[in-house]
Amino acid sequence: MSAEDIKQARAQSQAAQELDWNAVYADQLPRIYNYFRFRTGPGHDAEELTARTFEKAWRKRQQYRRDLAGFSTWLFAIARNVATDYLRSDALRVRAATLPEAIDHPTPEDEATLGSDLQRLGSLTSGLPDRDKELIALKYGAALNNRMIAGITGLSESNVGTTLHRLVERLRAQW
Amino acid sequence: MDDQFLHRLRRDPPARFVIQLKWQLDRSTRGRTLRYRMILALALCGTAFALVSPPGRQVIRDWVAPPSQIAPPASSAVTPGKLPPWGGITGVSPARNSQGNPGALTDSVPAALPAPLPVPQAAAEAPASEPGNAQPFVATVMVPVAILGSPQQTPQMMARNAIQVRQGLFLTMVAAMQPLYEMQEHRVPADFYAVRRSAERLAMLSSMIPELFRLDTRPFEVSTSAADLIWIHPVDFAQKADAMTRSAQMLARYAANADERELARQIQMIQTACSSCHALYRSNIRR
Repeated sequence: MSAEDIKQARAQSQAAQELDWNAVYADQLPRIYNYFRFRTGPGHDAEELTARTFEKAWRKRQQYRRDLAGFSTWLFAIARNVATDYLRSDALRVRAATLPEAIDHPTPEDEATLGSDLQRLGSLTSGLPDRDKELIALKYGAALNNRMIAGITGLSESNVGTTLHRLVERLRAQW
Repeated sequence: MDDQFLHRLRRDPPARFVIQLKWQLDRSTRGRTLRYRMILALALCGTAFALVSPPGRQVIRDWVAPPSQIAPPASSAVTPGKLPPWGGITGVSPARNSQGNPGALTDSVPAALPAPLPVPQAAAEAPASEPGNAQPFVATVMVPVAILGSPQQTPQMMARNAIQVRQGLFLTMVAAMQPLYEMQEHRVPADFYAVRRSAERLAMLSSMIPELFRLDTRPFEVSTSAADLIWIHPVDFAQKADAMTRSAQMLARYAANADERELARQIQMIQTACSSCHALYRSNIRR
């Protein structure tokens, strides 16, 4: 192990130790929670996925490298992976199940269920690409700015702004 | 861009979820820490028993002294009481002042340290002068110290326990205040030592208040008089507790200086500190 490697390992460990976990938890939990709410809709899935994200982050905290990314970016990278795994397995469950025939005339119960705003958002965005849903969840669920979203998704900041503008215009027209 | 209709969809996570998740994350840390401490405790136990067992001590003697000087007469064995006290604390008995009254309790064992543990039965009964009867001092003290905390509690149990501890604290404070009330009402003669003792106790107990209320018990089904404002204005709550601590410390100082003129005023200030906090942070309705 070279001197440079030792120095890097020490800096890594120090970065993990310097992190105030209580402050991180208080600041990031609402963001992560709402990100998952926007991605999965109302219900207990958001809580479960939030818990999974924080448990993974806590187990991996020694791997956090301050020189590479801000903590939000690192944490949301974990959250996005958790969301991807969840949505992939959810898609598999839906395909495996026997799907009922399409409902042409929704019942009053269905309309009441669809009444909540978050579910309404879910139904309006159901046909959008996954990338667009992700941007909406990061912007309006996690309350991140365009620069942070660009850092998380790998898109340019201007691309993020343009895409979000287009999406919001469309959603507002349908709302 | 008018996007408020999306921003307003955010919600705060449920308080119960927030607390339970934090507990789980802390527990996973404590679990790991507990394992390390268990391993450390076992290693220390093994070392301690090896050291105090007759073959172990023989090995140590062989290392320390040349073989020609090793002579294990009974009178040269280690005797209990000669071992250095744990933590360097010489005892819990307060010193006596020139009047024969117990002196300042500020020299006594700090409340944060655990009480000394009883001597193991076998070592206590055996004659002190015989070899092999030295107390396994390290093992009996270090094992309980190394194993701290109980990660088995659920959040609901933790909340109930926290409330019991808080209520116990306040009951103890009431007991500490009792001599002051009695002197204030001239039911007992003024006693500077008793005032100082009560004041020092109140200062120590009130300093624990903010820490004991750190756990937000509002989401749990518990019976408590703690008002919600405690966790809405935690800084002010802590400041009120601090005001109580400072008043008690001042009272202790005046009592130490036998300043009778200031005693009544300071006792009144302590009562005012209690009342002002209760007015905001103690609910009349026991939930």
